[in-house]
Amino acid sequence: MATPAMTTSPMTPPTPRSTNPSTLGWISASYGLAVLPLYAELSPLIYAIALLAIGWRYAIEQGRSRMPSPRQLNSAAVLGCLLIAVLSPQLGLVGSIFNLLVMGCTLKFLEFRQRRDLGLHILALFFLGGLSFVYHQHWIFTLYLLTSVLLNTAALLSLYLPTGRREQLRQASLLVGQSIPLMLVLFVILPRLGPLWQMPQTQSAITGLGEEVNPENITELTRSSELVFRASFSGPPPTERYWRTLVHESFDGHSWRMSPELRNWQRRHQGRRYQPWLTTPSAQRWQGPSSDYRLYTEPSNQSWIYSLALSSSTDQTLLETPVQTLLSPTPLTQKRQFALRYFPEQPSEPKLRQVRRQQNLALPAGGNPQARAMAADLRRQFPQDDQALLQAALHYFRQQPFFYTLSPPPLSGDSIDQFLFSTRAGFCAHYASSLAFLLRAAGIPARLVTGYLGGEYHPQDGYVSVHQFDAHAWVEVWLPGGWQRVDPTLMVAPDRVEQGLDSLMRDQGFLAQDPLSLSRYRHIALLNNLRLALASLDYHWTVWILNYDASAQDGLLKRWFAAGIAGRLLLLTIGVLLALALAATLGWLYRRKTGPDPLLALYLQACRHLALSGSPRLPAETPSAYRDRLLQQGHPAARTFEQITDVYLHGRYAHPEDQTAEIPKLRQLIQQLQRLSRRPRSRNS
Amino acid sequence: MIRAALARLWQPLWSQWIERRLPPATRVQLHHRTLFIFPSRFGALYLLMVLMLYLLATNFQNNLILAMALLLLSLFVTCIWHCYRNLAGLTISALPTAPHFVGQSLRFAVQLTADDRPRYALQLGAAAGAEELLPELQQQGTLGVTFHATRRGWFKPGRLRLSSHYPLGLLRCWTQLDLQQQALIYPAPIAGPLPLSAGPGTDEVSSTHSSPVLPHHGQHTGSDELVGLRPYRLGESLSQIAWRQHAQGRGLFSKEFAAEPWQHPWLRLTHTPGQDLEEQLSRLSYAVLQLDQKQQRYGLELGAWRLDPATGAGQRQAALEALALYGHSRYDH
Repeated sequence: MATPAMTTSPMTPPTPRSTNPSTLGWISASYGLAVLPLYAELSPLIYAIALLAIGWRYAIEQGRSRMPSPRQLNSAAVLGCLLIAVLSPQLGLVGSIFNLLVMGCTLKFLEFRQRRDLGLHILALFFLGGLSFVYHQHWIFTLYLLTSVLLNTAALLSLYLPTGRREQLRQASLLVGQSIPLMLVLFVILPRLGPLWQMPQTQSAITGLGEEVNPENITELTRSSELVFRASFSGPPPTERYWRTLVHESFDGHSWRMSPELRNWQRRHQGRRYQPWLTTPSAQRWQGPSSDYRLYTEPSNQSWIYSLALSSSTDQTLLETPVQTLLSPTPLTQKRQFALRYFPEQPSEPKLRQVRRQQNLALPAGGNPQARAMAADLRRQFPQDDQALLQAALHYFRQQPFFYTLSPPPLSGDSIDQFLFSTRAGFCAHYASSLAFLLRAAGIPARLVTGYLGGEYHPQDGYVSVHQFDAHAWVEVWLPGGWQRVDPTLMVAPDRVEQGLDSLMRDQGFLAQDPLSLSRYRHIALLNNLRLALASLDYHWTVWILNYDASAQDGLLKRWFAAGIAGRLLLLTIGVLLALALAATLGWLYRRKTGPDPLLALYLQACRHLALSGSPRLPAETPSAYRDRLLQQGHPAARTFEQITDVYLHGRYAHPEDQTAEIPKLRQLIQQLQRLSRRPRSRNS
Repeated sequence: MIRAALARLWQPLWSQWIERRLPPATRVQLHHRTLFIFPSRFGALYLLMVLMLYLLATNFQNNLILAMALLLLSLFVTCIWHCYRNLAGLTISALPTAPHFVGQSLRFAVQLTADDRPRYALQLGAAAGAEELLPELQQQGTLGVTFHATRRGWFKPGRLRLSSHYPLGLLRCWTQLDLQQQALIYPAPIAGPLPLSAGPGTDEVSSTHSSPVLPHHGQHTGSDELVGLRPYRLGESLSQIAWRQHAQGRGLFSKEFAAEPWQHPWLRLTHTPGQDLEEQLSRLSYAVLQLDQKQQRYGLELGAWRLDPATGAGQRQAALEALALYGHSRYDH
C-alpha cells in the first residue's frame, strides 16, 4: 500500500490571514490609552516619531502612500534606538525602556502584515500598561488600565473571532471578567517576595518640602492640595500634630539649610540599595507612654519621613538621624507604608555636645543689626533664664501688630530686621526664621524645623490625611533637658494651628493652583461629602491594595485562616477552585443571558419535537437533508417542518436582516409542529 | 540533529499511544480524552512577558504591577477553558475522496458539525498536506487538507490534525484524527501510441484457443478475439508479430484476429513499451483514458490478471484501479 512520506516534508505554516479590519481599530484605541498617561515620561523625539508614523499610516489608508519596506522600518528603528541611547542619561533606565517600548509600538503601526506582528504589538502594549503603574497608582488609573487590558484582549480576539466589534468586545469582557476572580485569589494568597535585585530608580520631580527653607518655597506648597501622606491611629490621634520632617541647622542670612554634618551622615547611610540589616539599631532609650500609628506615604521622590516627635520605627525599616528625624534608605518613589511608635515624653538630645551647640548658635558674621540688638537687650533682661527670654521673645510677636498672610510684601537685604520691625506681615516661615535668629543671637541653641501641621481627621476610617497646604515651619529650642518645640505662628494666628490653613486663608490665594480641587469647596456640603467619600475610597485603596505586603498578607491570612505551609497550600487550592467555579458560573450566566442565535434556538426546538415523535435528526445531517428525509418518509409534520426549515435557512444564511421579523413566524410554526407531531403518539397510547 | 534524533525516538511511541487513545473511525466526536491543549509559541512569549511583569512588580514592590501580571496569568488560564470548549463536542466525519492521478493535488475533506454553538478559527492540517482554515463554523462546515499525489496506489493522508488557536492565540487545542480516509491514486498518464494488441492467450498457440468465434458485443471471454497465427507478411505491424513464438525459434508469425486486426482491443502490460513498470503502467493509463474517450472497447491484461474488453465508466474505473494497485495487493502475482 502506498503511504506518503510522513516525516520528510516540513510542517506547513498556518494559512496567513488578512488582517481583520477591526483589529487595527482595537490596537489604535489601546495604543492611545497606553501612551496617554505616559505623556510626561516620553521624550519629544517619540512624539515626533508618533506623529510621523500616524501621518504615514493615514496616508496609506487614504491610498496616497505605500507601506514602508522592512528595510526602511528597520533603519528607522535603529535610528530611534540610537537616539534614545544618547538621551538615556537624561531619561534614566526606566524612562528609556518606556521610550523604547512606545517607539516600537508606534513603528509597528507601519508593519501590520502578519498575525505575528500584531501579537507582538499587543504584548508590548500589555507590558507598557503594566509598566505605567510605576508612575500611576490611583484607583481611577487602575480602572483605566483595566479598560486598556480589555481593548488588548479584544484586539487579540479579533484575530480569531470574525464577528462584529460588538461581539468581540462582549467576548473579551467575558474573558477578562472570568479572569478577575482567579486574579483576586492569587493576589490575596500568593506569597510576596522581597526585591530580587536592585532596580534603577525612576527619575521624577521631587515634591514637597525642600532641604532649603526660605519664605518663598513654603508659599508654593500652600497653593497645592496634593496629598502628602496619611496616618492611621488605633485610637484617637493626638490633638497637636506636628509632623517633623526636616531639621535646618545652618542659616546664611536668608535661607535655612540642613547642616553639612547631617548631609554627610545622610550620604553615608543612604545607600541606593535597600539593606534592612544596615539600619542602625535605635540609639535612643525609649521611655514613657507610647502609641502606635502607621504612615502611608505618597511618592515624593525624597527620603524624609514625616513623624510625630519623637517616633521610632517599629518595623526597623527606617533610619534614625542625629537630629531625631527618620530617613528612608530609598527615596519614596511610590506609595509606601511604615509602622511607627510615638513617644510624646521622650527627651530629645538631653545632652547637647559642644560641637552641636556651636552649630545651633552659628549666625552669619553680619547683617540684621536691629534683631541682634534686640536679642542683646533681651539677654540683658534675662541673663540666666533662657525660658523667660523665650517667653519675652514670643510676647513680642503677640504684642506687636503682626499679621498672618500668605502673600507678604517682598523682603530684601536684612530680611529678619525688615520683617520684625517694619513689614510685620508673613507666615510661618517668617515667624519661625526670625524667632530662631533672635534666640541664636541671644545665645540659646535654636533651629528651624519644617514639616506638616495637623491634617484632616477622618473619624470613620480613623486616619489623618495631610496635604501639601498643611506645610509648616516652626522652631526647636534647646533648653536644659532637651529640644523643645516652639511655634511662634501660634502667637499671631492661633487659628492657623488649631483649625488648619484652609479655614483661615480661604480668600488669600489658597490653592490658587488647584481650581478643580474639591478642597476649595469645603463649604458646599454635597461637594464636601463627595470629597470625603472619594478620600475614604482612596485611603482604603492605599491601605489594602497598594500596601498589601508580606506582613499585611500574613496578618490577614492568620486572622481568617490557619497559618503554616499546609494551611496556605490548602487555602490556595480552595481559592483557585472557587475562582474557577466563579468563572464558570459567570460564563454560564453570560451565555444564558445572551443565548445562542434565536433562530437557531427555535430550529433546534423544532428538531427536539420531531425527535420526540420518533424521527430525530441524524448526526451530521444538514437541515435541508433532514427536511427532505421527513418529506420522503411522509412524517405527519413534514410539511410544517419544511416551512420551518425554509424560514430558518432564509433568515440565518440568505437574509439575516429579516431575522427579527421571522422569529414570531417561526414560533407559530413550531406550535403547529408540536400539535402535528404529537398526534401519532396520542393515537398509539 | 538532536531534534531529528529525538523525533525518531519519539515518533513511534507517539503513534502507538495515539493509536490506542484515538482509534481509527470514520466519525469522531471530540471530548476531553481526545483533545490536547498546549501553549502556542505566542503563548510562551506571553507567559515570558507576564514573568517579566512579575519580576518588575517584585523588584519595585508594586502591587498594581503584580495585580496586572496576575490578571494576565488568569487570562491565560481562562483561555484554556475557552480554547477547549471551542473544539469539544464537535463531530467530525470523513467525506469520500475521489480517485486522482499521480501528480495531481487531492483534497481530503471532513465534515464538521456543532449544533450547540458557533466555533471559530478551525484549522485542519496534516504532516505533509496544506492546511485549511475555517474562520467560523455555524452548525456545519467542511475543511480539507490538500496533498500532492506522488505515487500510485492507495493514498492515506495519515492522521489529520484539527486545531484551533481561539480565543487569543495563546494556546492551541488540537487532536489527531484517523478517519480511515483513503484515495486511490492512478498512474499518471504518459502520452504515446496506444499499445493495442491481440488478446491474451495468443502467445501460446493452443487448440483450446484456436476455435474461431465471431466477434460480438457484450461479454467477451478473453480469447475469442484471436483467430490464429499465420506467417508474417512484410509490411504488417510489428505489434502483430507473435514474439514469443519467434523467440521460441518457431519462425515469424503474425497474430490473426477475427475482426479489425489493426484495432485489437487488448491493452497488455507485456506489450507496452517503457523503461520500467511505472512507465508502462503510465502508458496504459493514458491508453485507457484515450480509449474511454473514443468509447472504444478495450480489455486489460496485467500479468495473470485480465479485464475483459468493454466500454463505459465502469470499465474505465476497473482498469484504472487495476493499474493503480498492480503490484500492491491482489493484482500482485
